[in-house]
Amino acid sequence: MNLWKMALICALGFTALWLLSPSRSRQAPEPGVVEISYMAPTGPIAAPMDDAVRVFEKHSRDAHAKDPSQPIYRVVSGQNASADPSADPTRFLVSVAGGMPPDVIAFDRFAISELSARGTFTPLDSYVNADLKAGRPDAIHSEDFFPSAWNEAVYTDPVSGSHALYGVPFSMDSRALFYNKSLLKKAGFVDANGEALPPRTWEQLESMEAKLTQTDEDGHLVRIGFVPNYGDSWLYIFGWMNGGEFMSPDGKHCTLNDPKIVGALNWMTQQYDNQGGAKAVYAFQSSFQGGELDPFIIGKVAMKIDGVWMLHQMSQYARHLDWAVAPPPIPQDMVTKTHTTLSWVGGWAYAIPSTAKHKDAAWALIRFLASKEAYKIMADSERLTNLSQGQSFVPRQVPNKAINDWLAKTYVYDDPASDPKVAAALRVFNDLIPEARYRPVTEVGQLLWNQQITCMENAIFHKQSAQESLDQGTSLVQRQLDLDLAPPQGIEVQWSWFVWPYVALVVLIIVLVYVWETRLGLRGTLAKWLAPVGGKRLLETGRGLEGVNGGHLSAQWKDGWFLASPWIIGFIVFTGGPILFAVLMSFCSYDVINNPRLIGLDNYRWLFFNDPLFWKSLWNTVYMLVGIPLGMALSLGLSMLLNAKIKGVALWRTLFYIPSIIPAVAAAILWIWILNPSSGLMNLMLASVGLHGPNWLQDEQTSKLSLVIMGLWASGGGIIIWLAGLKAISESYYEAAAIDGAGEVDSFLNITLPMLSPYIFFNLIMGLIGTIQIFLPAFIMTSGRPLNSTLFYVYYLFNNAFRYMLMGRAAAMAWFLFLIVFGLTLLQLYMSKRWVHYEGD
Amino acid sequence: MSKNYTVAARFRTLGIYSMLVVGAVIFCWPLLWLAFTSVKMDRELFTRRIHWIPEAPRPHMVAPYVDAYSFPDLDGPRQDELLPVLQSYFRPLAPALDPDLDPDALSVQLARGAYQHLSDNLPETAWTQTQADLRKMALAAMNPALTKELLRQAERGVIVGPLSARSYDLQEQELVSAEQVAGAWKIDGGAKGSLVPSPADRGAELHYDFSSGDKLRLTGTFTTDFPVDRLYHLQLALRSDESWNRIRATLEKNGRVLRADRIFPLADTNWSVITWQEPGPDDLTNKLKTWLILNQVKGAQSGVTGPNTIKVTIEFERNSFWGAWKDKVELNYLKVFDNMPFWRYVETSLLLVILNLFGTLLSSSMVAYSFARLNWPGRNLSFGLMMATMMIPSQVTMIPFFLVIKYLGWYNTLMPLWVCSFFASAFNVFLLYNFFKGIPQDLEDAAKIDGCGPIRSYWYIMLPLVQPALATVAVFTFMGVWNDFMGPLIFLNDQRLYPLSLGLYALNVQGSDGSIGMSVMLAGSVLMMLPVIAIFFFAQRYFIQGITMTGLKG
Repeated sequence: MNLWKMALICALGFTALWLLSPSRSRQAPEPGVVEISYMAPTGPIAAPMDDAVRVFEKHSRDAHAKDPSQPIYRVVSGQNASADPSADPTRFLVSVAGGMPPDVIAFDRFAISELSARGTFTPLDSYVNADLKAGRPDAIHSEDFFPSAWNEAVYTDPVSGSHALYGVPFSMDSRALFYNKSLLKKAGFVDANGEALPPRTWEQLESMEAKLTQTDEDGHLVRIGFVPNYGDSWLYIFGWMNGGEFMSPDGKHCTLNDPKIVGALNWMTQQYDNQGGAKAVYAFQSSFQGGELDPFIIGKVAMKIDGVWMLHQMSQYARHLDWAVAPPPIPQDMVTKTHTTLSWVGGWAYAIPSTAKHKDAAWALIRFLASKEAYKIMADSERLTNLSQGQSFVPRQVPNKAINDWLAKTYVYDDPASDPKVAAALRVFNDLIPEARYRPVTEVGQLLWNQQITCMENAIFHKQSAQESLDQGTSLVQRQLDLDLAPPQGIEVQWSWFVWPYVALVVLIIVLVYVWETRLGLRGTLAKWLAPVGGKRLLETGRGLEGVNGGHLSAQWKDGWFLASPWIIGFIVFTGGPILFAVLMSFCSYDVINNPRLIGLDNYRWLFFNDPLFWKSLWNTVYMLVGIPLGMALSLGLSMLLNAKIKGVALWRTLFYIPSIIPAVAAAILWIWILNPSSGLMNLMLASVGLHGPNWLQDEQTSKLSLVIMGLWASGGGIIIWLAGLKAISESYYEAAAIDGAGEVDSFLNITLPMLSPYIFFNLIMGLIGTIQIFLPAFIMTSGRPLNSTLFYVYYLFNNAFRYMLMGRAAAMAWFLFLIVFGLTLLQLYMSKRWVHYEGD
Repeated sequence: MSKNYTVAARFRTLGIYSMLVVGAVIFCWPLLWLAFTSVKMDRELFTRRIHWIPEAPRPHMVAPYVDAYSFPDLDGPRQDELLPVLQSYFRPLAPALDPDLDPDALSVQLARGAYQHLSDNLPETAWTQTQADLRKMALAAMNPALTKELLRQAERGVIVGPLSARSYDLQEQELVSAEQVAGAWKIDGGAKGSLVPSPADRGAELHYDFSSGDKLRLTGTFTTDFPVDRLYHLQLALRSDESWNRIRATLEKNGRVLRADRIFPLADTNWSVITWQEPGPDDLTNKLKTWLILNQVKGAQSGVTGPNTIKVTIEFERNSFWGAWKDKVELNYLKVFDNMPFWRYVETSLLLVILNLFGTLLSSSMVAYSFARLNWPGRNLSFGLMMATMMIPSQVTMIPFFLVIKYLGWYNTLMPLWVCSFFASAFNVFLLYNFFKGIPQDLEDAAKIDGCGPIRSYWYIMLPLVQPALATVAVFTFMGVWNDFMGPLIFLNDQRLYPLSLGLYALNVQGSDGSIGMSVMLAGSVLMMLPVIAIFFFAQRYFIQGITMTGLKG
């Protein structure tokens, strides 16, 4: 009977597998078709791109029909599940390092230089020139583009001075000052005609802001006139406005502490202080919502510097608001006849990885996507999607001057249905582009970006003076830049070197272990030699194997190896090599893209002596360990409750388990809402008992605590292990104890806890390993902010590995962490002998 | 004595249940929040006061009408004084504003809207003035522009805009222009209705009254510039009136009758463009599905046969309260299905789950048994190494692991996502190791005397004993595989191979720019959680089953 049952189950299982197998329905690649793999945040899955790509494919088919030597192209969705490859570069860098990059990638322009400097992308000049030489009508002309977009994709090597184009810009976004006209009018800032008059200089801005900011009787903000870093501005724009530069023109020096930038940061700090300090402003900001309730739209913010992308939202929700956009003001002493305002632009570009398989095809796709035809298709499609969802359409800014004008004219200026306020604003934004600044094209761009945020936060929260924090930031960036610009040091390491030594190492270890475990004579000799340093212990460790020379225990060897073989083989094939690699990398300088170079202990030295964030991140992580015992106690309590004789136990257990199955992204949305200082559930509950809740995630002091609470809430995940353990305790112990007159507390302390000790031990070890590697909350929710208070060790490690491309340093961090965890685990193991009780022993 | 005992027991039970209830509320409301939020519409997420429970849809039989909920949740001082003042200010104006609306209801709503405007805009000092002064200031703040804006927010009506057609050769033709709307459509059906030209709105306002019938049809016959075989889609611009009535289109051409597979609910107050098209190449792409499909009605014959003639019927259908609820719940959930090949992804996820469960349960229990109960050379070293593998952050081993997978030729296949489970993962082995350690030696000794070798004793004695632990491992594995998006993200390039987790993640990423509402993303999360909850609900029974077996050791 059993055999039949088994056979039936197997048959069903295989049928299910066959039915589910994706190869069944997957179409084979068509012969003669070049597949271009395209990677972008939205990818061809998004309708506008999809439409353009289909037309591109159709063109290639038409061309092929006329001239069979022309290839047929098909664009396949490369990975598009990363919001921004410069924010989450894991996927892209891994595919480049693994030699399987996409053919075309859309990339944030300011991050292109960083990767180009390391040889990730193909220089595109030859493609551009070849098209020009061939006289193609669709050739790309650099002079058609705004220099502020085109030049951001041109990287000049500070050492050799050679420069090349690494990307074709396809989008851009300028920033300008949004102002609420009716608020300005009410406060009396009007011109001769009674029209609202926006500020022209910082000084005007400051005085207007003072008048527009309002507080209630308790001194809480009810309206902000203007805060520097609300919207999209950052230290960058204020630094430039004040005449500062962030990098020297030769690209060899970071000038983040330029006196002009220090001045700008001081001014920013002053603006926060004028309105009650950064803490109060941040608390007020945390009450902001989006959409129709955007703080600017409902008049909680009178002026802000923000990007052109806001127009979409404004056209949708701000129809009844009297608003306008003006060029951003600059300091009075910077104003000249020709220079009266300053904006900055960012944007994206298409690039071709240097190891891409189909570069010519990739270029053909880029050339098409840069054409007016493609922009029209995408704009039409996006417009349709917006309209069908009841939204209005404002085209994006485009780096090609003529196409940008055409888009704005066709879809906004000439469209009678478009909001005249939006049209006027778009003109201001477009007029700002030609003179706009862009972030320095340097290979430490990401680090510089992160540092300008850190410096700004440190200054506005008065953790450090502007000068101090900028000095510190500068020296950090400069040291890294010096390292990167110095001629490569050390011996270049080749991958192929490792294969045979690895095999030899594995064989050697196997032989050694075998000899060690079987030749007790050898061990005896060794023990005698080492007798003065406690060599006797060597013999003790072999106790379990006394049957070595033919006892019944040796019968277990073969079976033992056989049963353990899955892990042993898996370790040798999948895990061992990567671990060995990580060991080696910690002694190398490795940027993921080029071959690593051996540099000895430099990585460790840098971490221990040069990197304050390293210690900070370690402390942040250690703080999180407090959650382990709390979580264990909570989940054990819950399990005991669920283990009682109750009705509907399946339901109860499921209910308690639910928090741990909510997908991380959804849980993040939920908790950000719960912990919102002004409208979140947590503070509403505290307020109902008369307490004033803290700012939770927005406050340096409470951000980690918030994450601990979040972890506790998900601790129901542990109940299934506890339940399994509780169920394994025989009732008879409790009955016996009850007969002896033991109370419930006694039973718990003397029966339950000792019997659960293996599970406590398991949870302790796994909790330690898991908590010390905490990563997701920082990655999804906080990005390490505020003030690096949630910069956890592994998150910082990830930043080093994939954002700053310092894989070697990340590996060194990993090994340092490993030593800590390993040490703590050994300690627990050692102590566990005293309190962990296995029934089987 | 025994009576005391039962009283104590009752209290104990009561205590347990009350703790359970309190705990369940704390632990469970996030799911409720997810579920509730996933059916909310965007306007419910961005309001002055966010309500826990989604707003109930309010079907309306007559349009245009004044929405009694246009300005909910007024907060501010001295409402009782100001509202009547404002109401009497608006009452004489109301009939002139829009003769089709009930002037009393309208003036109430306009007053509420005006109050809200005042509470946002009057200076702080105004609120401490005397009643007469406050009244003066309030009335001084009124102006025609404001009234117009408030009217726009309070009135609800369907505006039918232009109808256009597009051919596969990208010819665009306006079948009904904005000016012609009122004259182009023939109105019939059981309900009363008429189209009133409304040039300011670029269309015509549809007046309907469903008290005499459930349906209202707009019918028009049009001549296209292109052969009707080449018709790609029809698009109707329309402003909804939040009445939750339904729209369904029927197209007749070439003697065939085509009917929309889904209704379009009049769910909000925005302008939208409804697109209808026949099944075609668009359905095979990964585009966001923003169109409704026209399926041929089998057996139905149409009198419309001209090569350039189409007949379009737009049917408005009255909705009931529960029907409106159904439409509301479906709204976001259907978008999840429309925005990705949902079932294709589910199939892949299931395949991975089955293979992983099989591999993990088999390999991990084998290895754990070997570590826990057998003696062999190298065991301690191996165990140490295994524990060590858990302590190294995966970020630093990701790249070499990727290289290994590439050399095996497994890039862009599902192999790396399940083969590894057959080689035992450290976490599961360590978990099972602890359980195996806890089983008394006597059982195995007895088996040994009966001639059982280690492998037989593993399969026949030990495995049944650790069933609860295996169930635990199974649940962890299921959840791990079901929710894992990092593995698929790195090893898959082809969207056709995505599992659900990555598909949803991609949807979230796409939606992060605001093109897909937050509720839709949460609806996706809910759909993804349901199977896990169900599995847990049914699997937890095995934790109990385990004891009856372990119990025999005594």
